[in-house]
Amino acid sequence: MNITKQVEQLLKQGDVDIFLAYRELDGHLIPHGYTLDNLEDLENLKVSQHRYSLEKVATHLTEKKPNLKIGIVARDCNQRALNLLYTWNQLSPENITPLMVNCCPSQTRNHSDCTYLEPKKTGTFKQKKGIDFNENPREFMDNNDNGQRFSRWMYEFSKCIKCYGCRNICPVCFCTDCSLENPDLVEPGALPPEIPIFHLVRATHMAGRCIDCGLCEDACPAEIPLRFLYREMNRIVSDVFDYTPGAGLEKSPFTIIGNEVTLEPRPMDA
Amino acid sequence: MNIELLTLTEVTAISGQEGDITATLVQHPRYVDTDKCIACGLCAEKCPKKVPDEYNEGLGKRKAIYVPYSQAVPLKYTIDPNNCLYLTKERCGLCETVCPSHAINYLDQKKEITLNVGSVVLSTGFKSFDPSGLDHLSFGKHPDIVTSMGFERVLSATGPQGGHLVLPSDKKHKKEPKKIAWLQCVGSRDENRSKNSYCSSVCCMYAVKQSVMAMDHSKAPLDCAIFYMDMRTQGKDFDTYLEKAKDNGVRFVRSRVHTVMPDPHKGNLVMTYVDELGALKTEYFDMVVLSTGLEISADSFALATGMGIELDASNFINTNSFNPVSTSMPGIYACGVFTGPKDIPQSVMEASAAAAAATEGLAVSRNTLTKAVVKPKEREVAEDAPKIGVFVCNCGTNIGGIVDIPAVAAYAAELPGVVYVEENLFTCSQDTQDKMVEVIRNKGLNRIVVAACTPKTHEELFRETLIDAGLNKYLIEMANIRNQDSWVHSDEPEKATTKAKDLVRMAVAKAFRLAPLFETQLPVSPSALVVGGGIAGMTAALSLSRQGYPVTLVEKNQHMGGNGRQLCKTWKNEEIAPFVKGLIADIEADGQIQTLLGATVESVEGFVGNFKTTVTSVDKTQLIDHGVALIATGAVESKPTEYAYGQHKAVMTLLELDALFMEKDTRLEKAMEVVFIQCVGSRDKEHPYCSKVCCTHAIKSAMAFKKKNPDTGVYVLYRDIRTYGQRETLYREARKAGILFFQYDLDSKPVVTPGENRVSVEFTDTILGRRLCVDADILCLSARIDARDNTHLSQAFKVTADSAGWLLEAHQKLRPVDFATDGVFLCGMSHYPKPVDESIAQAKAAAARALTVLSRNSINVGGIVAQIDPERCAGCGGCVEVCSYNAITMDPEREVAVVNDALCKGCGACAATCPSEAPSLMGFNNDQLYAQIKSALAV
Amino acid sequence: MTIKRITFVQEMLKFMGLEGRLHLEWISSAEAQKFARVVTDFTEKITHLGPSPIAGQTRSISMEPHENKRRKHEYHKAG
Repeated sequence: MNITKQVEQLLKQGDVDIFLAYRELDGHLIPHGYTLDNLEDLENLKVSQHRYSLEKVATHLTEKKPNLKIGIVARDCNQRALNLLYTWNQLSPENITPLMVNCCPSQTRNHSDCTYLEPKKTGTFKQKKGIDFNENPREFMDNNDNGQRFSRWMYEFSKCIKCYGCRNICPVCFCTDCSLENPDLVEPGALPPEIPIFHLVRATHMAGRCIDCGLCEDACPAEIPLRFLYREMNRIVSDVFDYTPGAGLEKSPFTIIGNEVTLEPRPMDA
Repeated sequence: MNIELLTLTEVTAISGQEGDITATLVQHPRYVDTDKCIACGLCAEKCPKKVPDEYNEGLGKRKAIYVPYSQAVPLKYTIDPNNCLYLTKERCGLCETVCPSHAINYLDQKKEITLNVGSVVLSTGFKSFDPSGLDHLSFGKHPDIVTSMGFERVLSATGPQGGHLVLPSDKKHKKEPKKIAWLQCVGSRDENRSKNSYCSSVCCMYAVKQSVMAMDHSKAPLDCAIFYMDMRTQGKDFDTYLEKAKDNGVRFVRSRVHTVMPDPHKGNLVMTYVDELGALKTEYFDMVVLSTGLEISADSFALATGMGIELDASNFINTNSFNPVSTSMPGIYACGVFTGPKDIPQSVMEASAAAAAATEGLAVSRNTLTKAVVKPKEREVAEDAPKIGVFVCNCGTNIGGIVDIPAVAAYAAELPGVVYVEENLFTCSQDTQDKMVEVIRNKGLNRIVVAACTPKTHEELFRETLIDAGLNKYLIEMANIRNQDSWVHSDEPEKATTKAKDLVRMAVAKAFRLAPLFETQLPVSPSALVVGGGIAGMTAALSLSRQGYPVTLVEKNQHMGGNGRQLCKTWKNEEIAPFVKGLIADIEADGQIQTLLGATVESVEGFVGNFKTTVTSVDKTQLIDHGVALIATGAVESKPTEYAYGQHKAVMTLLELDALFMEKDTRLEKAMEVVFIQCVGSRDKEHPYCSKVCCTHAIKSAMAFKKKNPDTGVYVLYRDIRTYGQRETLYREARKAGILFFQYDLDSKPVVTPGENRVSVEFTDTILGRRLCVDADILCLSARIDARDNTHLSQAFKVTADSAGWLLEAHQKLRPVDFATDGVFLCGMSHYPKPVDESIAQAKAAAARALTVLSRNSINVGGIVAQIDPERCAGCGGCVEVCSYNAITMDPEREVAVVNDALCKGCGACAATCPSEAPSLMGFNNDQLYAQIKSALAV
Repeated sequence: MTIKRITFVQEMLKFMGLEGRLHLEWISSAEAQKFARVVTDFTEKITHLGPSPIAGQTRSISMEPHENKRRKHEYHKAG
């Protein structure tokens, strides 16, 4: 059964009150909520490479109507985001019906690394001064000393126009009140924001939450390699906390006071 | 306010009866007026007379005017009249000249005080055994042979060497020891040389602790060896600590050392001893610590005998197992080492137990003599613009001698919001406090900054001052320009002054944003719920009822008594069955105690003072309102999985053997060979703890066989005999009676082979070095004691258990019967295996601690607690998870987190966790903290 | 918990090229010597590393509390 039929069935049987997917409009795909009232729209339902954090829309809807039953077209990354939102009480699994679609239309790349994100183009200036999107974070560590790393990051961050696009697109940014808009921490009206603090605050808040969908990096108009940054954060979280956000329904270790820790404080000269 | 502290005071006479006792006291002169002394230390600095310091075990010096140690209460100086030059020879008088508050009074006289009291508690503690008389240990002949008390001082940061582990013989405090030996049982378990036949209970554990700490303190690898007879680490978590010490490399040698001598050639100490295999060994050490035992001082002896109190052969107060804190004189109670050697947790428990016992008879007069103070009405200042008053303290010369106080004061005057600045010699002195109250009123100050010392010691004092001035007590901020500034930068006065300005600027920035915080009074339900109807639960219930509070006692079984029903006698030969029957009868006759049999706790709501608990029994469910809860669910003897248990009728546990004794079973008469195996299922990898009671229990049962028939062969196979305290008497008698003891280790456990009527037990005698075999008619296994499954109860009351299932007290040493959750207390074996007397002491202690809540009409909640802004809360539940006190719950309606003020301890973990800053810790909210940080950076 | 979080931040700062500027040590109130040693050593280490490259980025901040769009922290009466 094709997806349009499935959605129609879900709506008609009352399994979901609204189904979140994409709709083609003037040759573009935009996020759209299908309901019984606009069944005719279903003919424009399309699945393609394009993505949007539909879970975020689901979170906002749930906030207004806690018992709303929501269907959602989901790839692997959406599913990880959903899992994370379940563990953080933002959505409850009983109210969500994901319809899984293929992650990777080309069938040639590996699912586990999510993403059909095309290799990004990095210009030569960016390669020289900043960070190559496609570099492996471990190689970045090996190829650059402390000072080089710092200057490359500062180059990248200094381009920030504080548009909050990274936060706005992020499926797991669900706070009602964002610290990055707190005038005590981030001075309003100043550009670029205080770097690298602004970006590190966000990175810290993403630790244990980021499900590596890469939408932030896609959304950034300044081409700051955010996914590159959060991917390394995720590696640390996995090493230190033995936790992969969104992999399951496990609670984030960031809020649990563990019993026993085998880690030792690092010596000062390390 | 309601504790009057009489220092330098002795009891000279006691007369009258419980409820109406006249105590005559003598207070010796201090020569320092405690109301005036501000403990600035100038007097001691100038005093020319140096005296060996008793507190540091003579390893350091003090002056003739002194405070005994830095935590002394009250923190006031005192003159030692035997050494003061003025009092002995009328020369000097320097302290009087330098004292800035005129506190010295050379004419102070001793006073006689008469008190009318209801009861008396003796807690005079112990004296450490003096090993000077033991010539074979050479104490006093070489400075590097120290007592354990001396070694405590060596390790202590306030000790004579500032916590550096260096040899006392090295006057330059440079040379560090590389090898240290501890000798156990010096002045304990020794009738021949010390007359102290008992075990001092605490020395094994403190020696292990000292060895671990010494290794920690030592920069180079340190060789630590402990020479012992039996390792008696029977307390909670002690065995785990012991095993860790072994893993860290502390050597344990089972041997009683017979000679320690200074080696005149090498300059260190030479020790000879016989090892476990009988070989004579010689070893050199840099330092030897004598683990000296605990004994009763001559003064305590005179005090007790003067009151007509019965003592035992070792001068400990005679108590019985069922009344562990009562002396032979009604109305006089005792706790701590005066009733027998014991460690800190047990002493603290007994102290609370004595408080319960001493007040049970006085309940009717509760609060008739207590004092209360009337406070002025609080001024509304929340909406007013800040008018900050800054008080800058010189602390004598402590701060003023380094920091340029006038410059700091002038700087403070320029800061935004500051309307008044004052310099004080001592901001904390009583006259300054009075003046401060006036100034706050006259100048209309509404936020106060005190730039002085640490809030840890003085914030409470200044809060009181604010209350007296009619200000909300949370409107003060302290800048610590002494401990964090003048003391640590004494050689850089200019920089210290700059730093003082920084600290004041930060404090003012915070004070600017201080808001009054309020506390609310919640009424207390004046009743208790006790869970568990064993000896501990019943004792606690009766104690609370005698104090005048109704109790609901919940017991899972259809009858009360718990493990007590299965026990035969205590080690002092007291019959347990009649005692338990008596308890049950008392409970049943007590109109204030409601007993629910066959009942369990279903769920608990509420918090300290206001619990609502649902209890279900077979036929009904009821909701009980109570102010406090006591958990006494006990423990259970495990069923062994080894030594042919369950396969042969000759093999049984201690409780099963007790049952045979109570039934007067004929098998006991016929038994010719009886073997006991200790530590069955205990002290191994899976169950690292010691079950504490089994050594005594087994030896007592073994003695019962010997008493029936002295020809019965009785063998005890043990790892360490742990007849701690006066129980050692029992062990000695057992050996005298011909009971044979064989030591085994985990890697050489006995082997049991079932035969037709008997079981054969094979084991190694380490002294003969041979395998021996006994065909036993009865093989009694000292089975491990297991914790009960308290999972449901722990979740309901929000209390925790350790990995072995023992309920976890708030602090092992200092709060042994409290849970971290307010208003919930624990006693008996649910805490850890323990004998009857300790269970009873703990039960009374729990009752006393519960009284601290019940005796209040209301509890204050609020103040420095977290509060969650519902508009910012995304309802993610992160703060709920991170709260150690279970003070945060989700409001299901609004889907936001809510803090329960009564449970919140103000730790701030929630505020640190939330990415949206929805929780703020009142008095430390983010606005205030950011302001302080920004102010710190804004130079 | 603390140690895990701090390890995380240490690793993050390392990635940013700000290695070595965060140190964690457990020191009890009884360990004055240790405290002094750790602070001295760390001060020495930081002096050696030189001033933080992000120093100076911090904008000058006014001492006056600015009008905050956010709610003032006020205490609700408990109960």
